[in-house]
Amino acid sequence: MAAQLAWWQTAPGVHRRSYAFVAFPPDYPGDRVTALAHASVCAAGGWSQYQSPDSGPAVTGQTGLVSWRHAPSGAVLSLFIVAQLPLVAVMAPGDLTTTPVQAMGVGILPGRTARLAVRRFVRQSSGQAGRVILTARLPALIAASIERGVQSAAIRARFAQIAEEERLRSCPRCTAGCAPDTRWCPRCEYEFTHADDHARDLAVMQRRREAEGLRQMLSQLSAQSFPPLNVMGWAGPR
Amino acid sequence: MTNPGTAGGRLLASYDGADGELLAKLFAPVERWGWEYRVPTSRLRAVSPAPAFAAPLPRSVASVCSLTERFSIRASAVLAILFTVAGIVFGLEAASWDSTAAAQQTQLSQSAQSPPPNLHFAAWTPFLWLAAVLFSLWAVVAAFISRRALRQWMGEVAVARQDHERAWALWSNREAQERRDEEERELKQPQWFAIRFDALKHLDVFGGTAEGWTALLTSIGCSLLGAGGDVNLVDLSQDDVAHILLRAARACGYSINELTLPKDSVVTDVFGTMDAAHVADVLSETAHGADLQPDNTQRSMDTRLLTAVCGALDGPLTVGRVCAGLRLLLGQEPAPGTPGALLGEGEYDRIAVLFADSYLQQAASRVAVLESVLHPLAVLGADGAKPQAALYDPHTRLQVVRITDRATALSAEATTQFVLQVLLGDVRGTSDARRPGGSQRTIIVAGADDLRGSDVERLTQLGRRRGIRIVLLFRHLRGEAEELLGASDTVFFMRLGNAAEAARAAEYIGREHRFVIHQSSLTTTDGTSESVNVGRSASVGRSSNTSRHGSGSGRSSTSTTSSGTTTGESYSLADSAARQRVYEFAVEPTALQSLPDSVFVFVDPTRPRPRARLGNCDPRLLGLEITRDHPAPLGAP
Repeated sequence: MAAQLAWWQTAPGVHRRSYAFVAFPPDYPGDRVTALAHASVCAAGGWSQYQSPDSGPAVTGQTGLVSWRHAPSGAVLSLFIVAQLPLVAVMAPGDLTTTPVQAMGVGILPGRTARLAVRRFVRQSSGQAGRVILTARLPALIAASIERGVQSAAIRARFAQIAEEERLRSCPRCTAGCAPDTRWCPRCEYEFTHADDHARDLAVMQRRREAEGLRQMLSQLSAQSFPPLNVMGWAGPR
Repeated sequence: MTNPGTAGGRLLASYDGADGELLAKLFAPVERWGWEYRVPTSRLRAVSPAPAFAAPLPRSVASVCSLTERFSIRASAVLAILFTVAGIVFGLEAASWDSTAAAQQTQLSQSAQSPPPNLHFAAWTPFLWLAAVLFSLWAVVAAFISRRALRQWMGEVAVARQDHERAWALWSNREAQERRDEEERELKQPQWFAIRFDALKHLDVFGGTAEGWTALLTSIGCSLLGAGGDVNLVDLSQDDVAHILLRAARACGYSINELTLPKDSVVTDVFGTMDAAHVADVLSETAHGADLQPDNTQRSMDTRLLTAVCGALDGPLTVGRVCAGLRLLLGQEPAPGTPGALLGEGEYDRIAVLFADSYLQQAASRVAVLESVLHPLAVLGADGAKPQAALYDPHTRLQVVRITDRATALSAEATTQFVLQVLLGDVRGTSDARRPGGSQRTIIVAGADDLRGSDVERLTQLGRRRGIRIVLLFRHLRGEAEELLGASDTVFFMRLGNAAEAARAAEYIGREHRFVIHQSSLTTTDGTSESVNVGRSASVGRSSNTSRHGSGSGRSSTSTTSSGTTTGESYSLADSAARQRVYEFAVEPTALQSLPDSVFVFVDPTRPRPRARLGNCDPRLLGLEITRDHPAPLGAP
């Protein structure tokens, strides 16, 4: 995509911009992104992490949110994650922890301090497998990420269901849930026969095959979410 | 699983017999032989997917910002160019005006029809300035619009984030609640069910500690009494394992006959209503109870001597007076009326003429042996002036005879044999174990290791014939006790600390086929690979043609170079396990060695498999909600 830009266009960097959209590989943990952002923002003096009194802890781990405040100028920068497959982090001025976004500085004058911090973050991210996203491609990317996220949640739920099923086996006589390696049903004392054990083993194998397939689907989802460079919709780091 | 057996003994020691609710449950009118453990069943739980975060799509941001970004990113460069050009034009125009102002005026007057050339550039200057200003203005407005769109989207993201956090919290709480509910349901399921036997005649218990036996006797004894039965408990363990049973029965008002030997020896009515022949038989068997090799000749002679002496004595008979008669045969008993004489004149005269001198010369050694063996028992019932307590009173519901550790080894052994023989005599004299009220009599011997195997067999046989249930508690599984293994209807195995004894018990419980994992492998590969492929191909073509019009030749060559880099990340996990069919103990010996005090493994041949079941006899189980006073229901729920 970078090669298709006209001479008067820039790559989707942060030249004179106070915000940035950066994508990271799915196996890049959100904590690491946060640490990276913290290191890059606080590389210049005056920045410190800021915790809004209205912001609760992100229990899900999917919407990580960190804010920094620049003490001399009063500028506030926020980093939040808007997608997981791939992990898309947005850094923009303002405090996203308050709703409505009262202190959002993007509509006023973000200032040079914030722009420089964002630029540092983008440079650090580019050196750590991060990729700056074209703003035009952002809706499609997020939509695809949401779809993958739903698929991923369904797959993980199926994983948990398989683990639950492997924990038990049903008694053919009274349908009680028994331990898989038990020999007698604790409720009706039915003795599991060799055929029952064989059926259990077949079911276990089938579940393992299914789990393997699900694992591959998860891998494919991850791979699709962060394809190699120069694929349509992706640009190289600036 | 709640396992009160681990601390059962300690808590049993502090058991308060006045606990009315527990007593009422203990003495419920149902027979139970402890409680059987059943694993709670589980239920398959449906897992719902976690809510995925769906950020609002930044369509306005994309449409506005990307447009403004395209045209405003290098607005400064464009503005610089425009202003530079405008400046140059303006400069050229100003220079022209300064140097040639007069000439231009003259030329203007002379040729008014044609305008000066520099006025052509000057006409463009305002347009350039205007364009620069408009461009700057548009860039500022566009930036403002784009930032406003971005701010609006970020606000939507903040709201969506809060909604997602709430949805996630709801989902997480619901999942946790479902898990808790399921765990609670499993915990609330009944796990201990009463053990009942339809036609139990003989129960053997092997192993166990004093605390375990205390719990077992309490739970079994109370149940049997509550169901209307009578209990005869012979405690040979010297551990006082019946004290809680006695306290509980006393608290509930059951009639109790309690004798502690040797403390109560002098006030014990040992023979009750037995006739002389019966007493002689009891004493003869007592004298030969410890014989390793039974000698029928000696036993016959002893019985003959004792029968004669007992027949010559007036009632009531005591062991001391029988010993006095034996001493009289040896000429060692003082004459009647002298200090220390136990026999009356009539008895003295009758015994003196029982046997001829020649016979006594032959039997003197046996008489001396008999007197020596029975001498430790002479204190039994020695004080005839005090009220005598019968060794076995048929009118009491609970009879406990126990031998404490205050007895000397010799005395304890003789007393044990004597008590057993009296018991056998009592059972033998019983026509029917069932009382008019239909109550069932149960004889429990705690510490049956000291009894001779033949006596135990005789007791169990008599019990089967008379309809009396026999419960024998063996401390160890060795010697004659091992030979008795399997003779009973049901066997309880409590803790067997000795490895050899535990192995014997495990062998008796049996082996079973099972599949076990005998081979397991786990392979993981994780890494990044990168390969560079460089290909080069070249082709050279040569062509020639010849015709009447001439000839020609051509040469063509093609060279292609291709290169590519492939980078990939791979991760794989391979987990395999192989199972093998083995034939192993159903219960491992180590499990028997480490059973808690009140827990036992029991084998009930009358019930279908599994052969070995886990039981517990701690009475405190009745206080738990997971305990039921009925057998485990079988079949579909």
